[in-house]
Amino acid sequence: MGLFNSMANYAHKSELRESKDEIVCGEIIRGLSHQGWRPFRIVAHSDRQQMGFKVPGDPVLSAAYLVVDRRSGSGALTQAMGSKTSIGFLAEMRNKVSDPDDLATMWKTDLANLFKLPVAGEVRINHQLNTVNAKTYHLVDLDQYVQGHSVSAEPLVGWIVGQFDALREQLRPLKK
Amino acid sequence: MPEPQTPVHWLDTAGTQQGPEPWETVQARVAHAQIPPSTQVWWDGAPGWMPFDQVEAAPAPAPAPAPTPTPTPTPDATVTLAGSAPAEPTTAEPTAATPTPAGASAAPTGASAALMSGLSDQELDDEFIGLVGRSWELYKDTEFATSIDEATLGGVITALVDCGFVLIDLETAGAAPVVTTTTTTGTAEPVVTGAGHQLRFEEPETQSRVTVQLEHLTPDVATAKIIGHRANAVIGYGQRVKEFNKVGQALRQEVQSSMIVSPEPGTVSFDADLSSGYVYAQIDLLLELDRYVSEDLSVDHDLLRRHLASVVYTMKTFVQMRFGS
Repeated sequence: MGLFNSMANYAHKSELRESKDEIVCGEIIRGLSHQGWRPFRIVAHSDRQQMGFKVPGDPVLSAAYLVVDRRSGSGALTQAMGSKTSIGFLAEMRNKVSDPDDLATMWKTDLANLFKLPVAGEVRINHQLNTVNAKTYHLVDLDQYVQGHSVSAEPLVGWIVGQFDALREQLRPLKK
Repeated sequence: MPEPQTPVHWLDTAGTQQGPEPWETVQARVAHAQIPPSTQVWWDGAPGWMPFDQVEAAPAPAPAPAPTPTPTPTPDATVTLAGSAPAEPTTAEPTAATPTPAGASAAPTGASAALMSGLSDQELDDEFIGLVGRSWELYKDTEFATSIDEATLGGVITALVDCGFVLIDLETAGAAPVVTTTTTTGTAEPVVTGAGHQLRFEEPETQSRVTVQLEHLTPDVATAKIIGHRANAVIGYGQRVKEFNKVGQALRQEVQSSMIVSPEPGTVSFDADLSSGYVYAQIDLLLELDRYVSEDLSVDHDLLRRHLASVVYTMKTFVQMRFGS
């Protein structure tokens, strides 16, 4: 019985360690829902979760997407390295009508994008006819927010909202 | 002066021709100061472009007279509308010979003009905007139909994390194919072909778990309009057991549960995880997702929590009756 319990305990701890990004996703969904954002897209694979939210009443954004992508694997390696995770932010704006002038703007944007890497906060704008996206990525350590079952999600949610505020301002001039 | 319903063209301040629209509409525009009284107007039968206020000052047209010989219009017909004016010339529309204000385009001719006749620019703009707006509404209908299951997942996560659970497993299978089969009554019924979305939560204090599997059965708009958004849900409760023989007992139950090929609602089954020592009881249900999620994607978290609570309570009872607390 002792051996069974020890093995079960080890398996349980391992599960929790590997669940760090899911725990964070759960807290993000809850935190943003309480801000009035409405989750409508949840796509999850083993180490990559994508969440989409509608932001009711937002004058610019039609949707906000987050991608939580765990970079440092699981198990003992993660324990040693911390839980480095890439968080991608994609703010989507939709114009109801697009016209040939927009195609010209798209070319300009695509040209500018050639030399842009949307990492460490740099923003890349991408035109898709009626849809214009602004995206950026940040590398964060989930251990800052999650220790076992204990989660401090409030600062994380505040930081996420701030990132989308910045992306909104990048898109605002392109809103018709 | 034209009849109230006579289509009239007018020139805006940039000299661009507007209309046609009924004379009474033009009168209303002036009355509401949308256009100045000096606005140039023209209608079929008018001798040429003339200021609105002059036309207004002219006497109302007499009742239709008996047919009398009409005086021939003079080539340089000067508009004299006040007093006892001579009979109006019967010029059909302004021509090069008629005085046309600078910037005025020709009177409407051709198929395009006929297409748009009777509609003001404002009305055309309004119709266009209405069509585009309606297109986006229809697009959102489709978007909603494919999002409602994920919005429900968001609601489940919010409801349970609010209560203190932590989400420890999240897997979505994307759009899992739903195979329809024809029943003996000839109706097509969806058959659950595999897991859709799977969530697993843990209560930190007791390490007990709640599992939720959800598969949207009616993701297309047409079906959803008829029968609503339905989903197959499997909701379970699990707890750790310390005795290996109890996990073995649960495994035997799991084998029995696997005999059920296509579970009906209300079927309770058991599951065991030998590695982490968990035993689960779970139940198959059919849910109406539109009871929880409105068209604006807002979620009724209270109703969702109430339903989850009732199922978790019952499944917990099943587990504890069989495997002890």
